[in-house]
Amino acid sequence: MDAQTEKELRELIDNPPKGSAVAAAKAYGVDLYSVLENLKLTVAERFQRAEQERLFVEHLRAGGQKAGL
Amino acid sequence: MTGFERLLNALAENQAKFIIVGAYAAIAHGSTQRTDDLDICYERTPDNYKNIMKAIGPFHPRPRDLPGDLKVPFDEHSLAQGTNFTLVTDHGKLDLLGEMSGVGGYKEALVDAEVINLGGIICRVASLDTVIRSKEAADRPKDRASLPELKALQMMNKLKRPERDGHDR
Repeated sequence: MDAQTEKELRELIDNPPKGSAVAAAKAYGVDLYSVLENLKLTVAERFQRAEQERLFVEHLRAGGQKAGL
Repeated sequence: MTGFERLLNALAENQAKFIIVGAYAAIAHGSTQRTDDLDICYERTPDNYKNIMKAIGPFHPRPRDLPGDLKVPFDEHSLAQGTNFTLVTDHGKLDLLGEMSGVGGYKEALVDAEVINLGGIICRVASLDTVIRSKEAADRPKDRASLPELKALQMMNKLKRPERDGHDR
């Protein structure tokens, strides 16, 4: 993502048009800056990040089950 | 290579006709949502059943959420006899969807699917419009909760310029 696009996206997040999907997502509590960070990654990087988090949660679940929680 | 990448790689190498849909399709488009299963929409033809099973067979797919130790084999005949399957494999949970609410089947999802490169694995992913349509139609609480972010992503993606190699960065 080039600097100009990032600037425009930040502006959109900070000042979304009234009634827009971005305004609705902000009001709903979506962290659009996290979305923006995701958009800077390649698709492969997004998948790898999601996979790492999935495996971490699985690891925690397995630990909890082993501990009888 | 991660677990789901192994599954996708095997499917691609065996020429299975499939499209990544659901949460991982949303993730491909930039969503921050998380899931513990990989959803794919597959073409419902006998040749494709064979290719899918050649790909995932070595990873011991079996229906998940069965009571106790009940073991039910899963093979190309199973694929031919049903439509949507929730499986578990050695590399994680895999949902095979012959049809999706609000979208249809493989042919319909293919219309605006995008080709992506996952570190050398070339496969197709459902468009953001298709993901949104399927989630609106499924209308479960988790689907409804994901929609504000996905619709914002639609708007944000319109601002993005074409990237140098045709893929996002």
